[in-house]
Amino acid sequence: MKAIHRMLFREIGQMKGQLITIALVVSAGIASLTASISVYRSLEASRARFYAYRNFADIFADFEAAPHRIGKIVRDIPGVTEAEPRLSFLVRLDLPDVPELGLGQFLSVPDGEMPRLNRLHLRSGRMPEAWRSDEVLVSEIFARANQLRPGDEITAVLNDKIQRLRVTGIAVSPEFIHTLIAGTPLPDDKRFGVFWMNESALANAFDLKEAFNSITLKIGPNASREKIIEQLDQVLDRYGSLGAYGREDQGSHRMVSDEIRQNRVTATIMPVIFLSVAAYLVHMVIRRLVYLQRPQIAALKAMGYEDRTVGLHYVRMVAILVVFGTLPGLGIGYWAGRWLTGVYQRFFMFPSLDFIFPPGTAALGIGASLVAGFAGVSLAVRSAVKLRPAEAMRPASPQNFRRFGIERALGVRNASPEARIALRNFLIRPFRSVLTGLAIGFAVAVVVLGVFWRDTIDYLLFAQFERAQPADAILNFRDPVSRRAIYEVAHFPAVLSAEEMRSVPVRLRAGHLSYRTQLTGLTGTPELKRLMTEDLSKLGAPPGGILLGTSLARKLQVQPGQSLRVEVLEGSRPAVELRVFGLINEMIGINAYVGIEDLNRLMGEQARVTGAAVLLDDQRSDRFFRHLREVPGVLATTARSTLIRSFRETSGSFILAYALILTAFGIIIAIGVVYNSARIALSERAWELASLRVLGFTRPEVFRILVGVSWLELLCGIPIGLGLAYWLARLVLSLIHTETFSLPLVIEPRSYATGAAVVLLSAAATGVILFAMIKRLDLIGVLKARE
Amino acid sequence: MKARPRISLRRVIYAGLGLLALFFLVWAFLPKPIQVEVAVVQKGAFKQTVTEDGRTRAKEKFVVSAPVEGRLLRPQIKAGDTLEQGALLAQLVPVQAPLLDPRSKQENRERLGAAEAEAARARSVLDAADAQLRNQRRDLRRTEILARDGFVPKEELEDARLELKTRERDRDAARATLERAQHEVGLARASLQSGVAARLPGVEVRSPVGGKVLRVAQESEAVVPAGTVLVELADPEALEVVVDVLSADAVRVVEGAPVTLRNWGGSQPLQGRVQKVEPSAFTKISALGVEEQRVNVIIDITSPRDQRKQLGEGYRLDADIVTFATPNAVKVPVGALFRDGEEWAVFVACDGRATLRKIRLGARNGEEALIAQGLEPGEKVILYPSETLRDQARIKLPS
Repeated sequence: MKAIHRMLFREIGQMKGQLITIALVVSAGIASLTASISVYRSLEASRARFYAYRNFADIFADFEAAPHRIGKIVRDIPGVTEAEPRLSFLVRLDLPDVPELGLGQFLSVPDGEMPRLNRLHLRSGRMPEAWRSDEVLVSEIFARANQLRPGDEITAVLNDKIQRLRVTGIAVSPEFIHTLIAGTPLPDDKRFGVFWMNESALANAFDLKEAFNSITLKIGPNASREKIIEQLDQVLDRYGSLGAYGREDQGSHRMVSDEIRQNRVTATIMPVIFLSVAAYLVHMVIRRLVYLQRPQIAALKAMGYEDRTVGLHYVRMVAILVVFGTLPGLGIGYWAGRWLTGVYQRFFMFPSLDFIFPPGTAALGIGASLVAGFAGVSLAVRSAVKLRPAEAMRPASPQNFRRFGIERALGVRNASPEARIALRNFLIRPFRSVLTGLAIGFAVAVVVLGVFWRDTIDYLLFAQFERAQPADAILNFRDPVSRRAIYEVAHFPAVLSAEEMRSVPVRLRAGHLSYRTQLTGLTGTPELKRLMTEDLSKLGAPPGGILLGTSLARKLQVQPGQSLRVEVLEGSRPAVELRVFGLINEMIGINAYVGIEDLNRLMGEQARVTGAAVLLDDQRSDRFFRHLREVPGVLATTARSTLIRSFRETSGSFILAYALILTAFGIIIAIGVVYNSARIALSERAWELASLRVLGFTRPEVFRILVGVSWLELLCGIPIGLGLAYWLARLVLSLIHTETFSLPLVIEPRSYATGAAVVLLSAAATGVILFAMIKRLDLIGVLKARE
Repeated sequence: MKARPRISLRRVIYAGLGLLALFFLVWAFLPKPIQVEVAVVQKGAFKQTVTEDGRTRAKEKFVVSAPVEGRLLRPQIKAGDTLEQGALLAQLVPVQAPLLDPRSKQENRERLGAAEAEAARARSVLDAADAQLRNQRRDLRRTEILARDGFVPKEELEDARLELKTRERDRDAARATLERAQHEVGLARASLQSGVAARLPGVEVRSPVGGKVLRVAQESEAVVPAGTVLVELADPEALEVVVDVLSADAVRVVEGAPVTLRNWGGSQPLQGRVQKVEPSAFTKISALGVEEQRVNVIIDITSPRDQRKQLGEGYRLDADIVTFATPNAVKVPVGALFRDGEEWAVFVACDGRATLRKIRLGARNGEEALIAQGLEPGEKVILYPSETLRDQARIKLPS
């Protein structure tokens, strides 16, 4: 037994280069697996705890105004365990250090008390005093972006009255783990905040006595959510209901769920790639080892070692390799998971986002790598075990090198001997060559997967903001007003041109499917907020028809030409059947568009607008935004440049992290594959190469033969990798597709080139090491071995 | 030796392939041309306008009101009727007495009773006066006979005559008192009458001009005070448009300036001309809640009448008042403009590159800008230039 153990250590010592490179691939796989799992488990656990502890509601509904007794009726709906009426208003904020208008969502809390549902976690400070009408709590992310502390003041315009409000505390709410600007899928920490204020104070400010306009519900464990939503809609319909919805449609909940889902995707795809590459490398290396050790195996067997023991020797070797790969992998995974969780902490407001590294994850990691290792080793070991001692004593019969048909086809008949040797070495084991190519392909694909996000985001911003929305700012008015408002806006400082818009909340119905969204009316040929098809050509707002975003059409399963029912959730709540005239390519949000004249006719109103798209003199846009503070009819502004900046900031850190991590992973795979493949070639051909050297071939010539095979593998692997990258990127995008963002699959040549270049450079670095090995090739030693 | 040239050829090919790959790599990393949208610099008519919404109104409007207080009988005319001059517009009749509440009614009834009693008393007084008068006459006649015969002195006769005169006056006074009492009774009786229609002739209101009835202010029978608007009349075809513009815009509007009237409901915009800019401004709260100084601009519609048959009085429309127009202007869409420092500039698309060009702007409206200097018609300018676009950056035009 001791002999075989000694052999194990000696072999490990000899093959340390190969083993280290394979261990690195295993590490990368385990790291990506454990990091992603621990991130999403951390998010899930923190969220579940937050929801349970702070009594996150199950159903939400907003409406115009309903008397207090409706709260009791809602509470009596069977299945509802708790219902909490409240007030909710969008309010303009005057922020001292940003030119644009701020927007606040003001929610009521029972005077001086915690709400029963969606209870707040106070990060600092205290609840407003029951008798104070000027005290508020502020959401943490807004407080942080604006450096607000308890005791600070903030100016808000409550129902036309400018009011100084005192911040008494900083709060986080299960409803606003991720804060999106009301009505949009985009965050803006600095300009949008959530505030909580005493109910009586908010009711006074908005002259809404004995009434409420929002309600949240908690339902029993066995209650049917759909049924309760239906009943709630019936109760609230005549109070101007905007439609009740469950958690899954709640902005913050959905964002966090999407993020968890995306990490699940990463936790599947990346480890699968790495571990299959690792399995293949293990297989290749062990198989070669078995081949080289035929005589030793025979000797061991002849000395009475059992098949099992011999087999176990290789399995043990792989086990050691796996442990060496897994341990650092777990370490890196732990560290990366922690780091990523920390990154999420900037965007997701939990009372505490605790990093969890569940022991199961480590076990899963070790298990996965063992499975990969043993999958790799099993075939090779079987061939070792099968060998009969007498047969194994003889050297294996050489392969049948011949002129391959393909050589003629490639026209390399007259190529140099080195090239021909390399080509034949490549072709003699087509299966192995293709697999090696595939493994290199994975290296390319992984790098591309890391860097293509930049292209996708760039394209999204280009198509969505430069093409579809040349407007520098979108204004939202507080109420529908006369079109005169547009002429008024056109007179504001720095405005080059202004275009009218009108939005109403609607429910779209097609058969049994329905979706709540905004229906936006635009002029016939909008120039500043345009409707674009997928190939970036403009569509006009059609008279008598409706245009849908592609993802909305998919959701409602309607095609152009079919019609759908539009139910307006505002005013007299008219409903109408409209024909779908076309599909537009909207990547952010889910919207529907009609001509503004049609919309006004549907609403039974004349020349009303609720917003404007404006083109600004960029250098003077500050004057424009400052001027808006004097205009009480404007509720909110979104400046395109701010939106782009905040989008880039949010996505930027993730994009960079992905690019760096995956590039490193790609390098690891590339080095692992090229190094091992070349090492195997070297060990297979050591005798021939030494002979060639003796025959007078120079070192570079011999090196070329060796490297030629690697070249061919790269040549075959890189195109595979580019195709694979496209396919994998498509898969990843379709898996992480969310309701509010449909990221376009765009991979620019620079990303493909990065993938190819990273792999080529890794291969070149490996080549330098190999050249050093050729230099050290012990001619006599190698040649003597055969005697 | 034979192989040598072939090898070098092969080397050339390999080197070529290698270079190609290298070239591809370098190309892939080079910054890509930025996709841009372009517009061609046009030469043509340019207009700067003041755009506001306005309303039509009749040029000459006749507001007919009630000349006296009275009960208006239900008018027989309807809005939209065409009337001749002197046609009957409305008829006013006297107002009925107000209704009495029970207390006043009782009071009045009691007052009637009192008056009747007073009348009875007066009658008695009159009867008494009558009797005394008759008696006095008899006395006088007797005294006259006696006096003629000289049985009584002359003084006595004169006294009797005086007495008779006094009695006559007393009777007259009593009769007057009775008359007054009887009138009191009548008065008291009249005040008991209420809500009883009295068909008496009233006042007829007639149309001062021929024209169309725009509005019948009082459609039903009613009691109206003097001065109440009853009917509005006008020549419906003689319409003008009144638009209130910001005072800062009003200074640029000159009388006679052409106006385009849009969004009035018809398929074609109408043409008009500024008739008058009112000399005084008024304060108005805008749609977005800002206090503004506005000035009424009166516009004549110059389009032929058959193009605007359906247009009525008080209709809403949008007016583009031209403040500046030139037929041969070099112009670009405003989307191409941006500021480079203090000056305006555009990116000219030329030979696949974006060239920054400073320009002098003449004027601009919401869509186009007039270029005073810096661009030639036919040149292509980049629309909505993105922040990444720099001078001399490579660009790609849409195919």
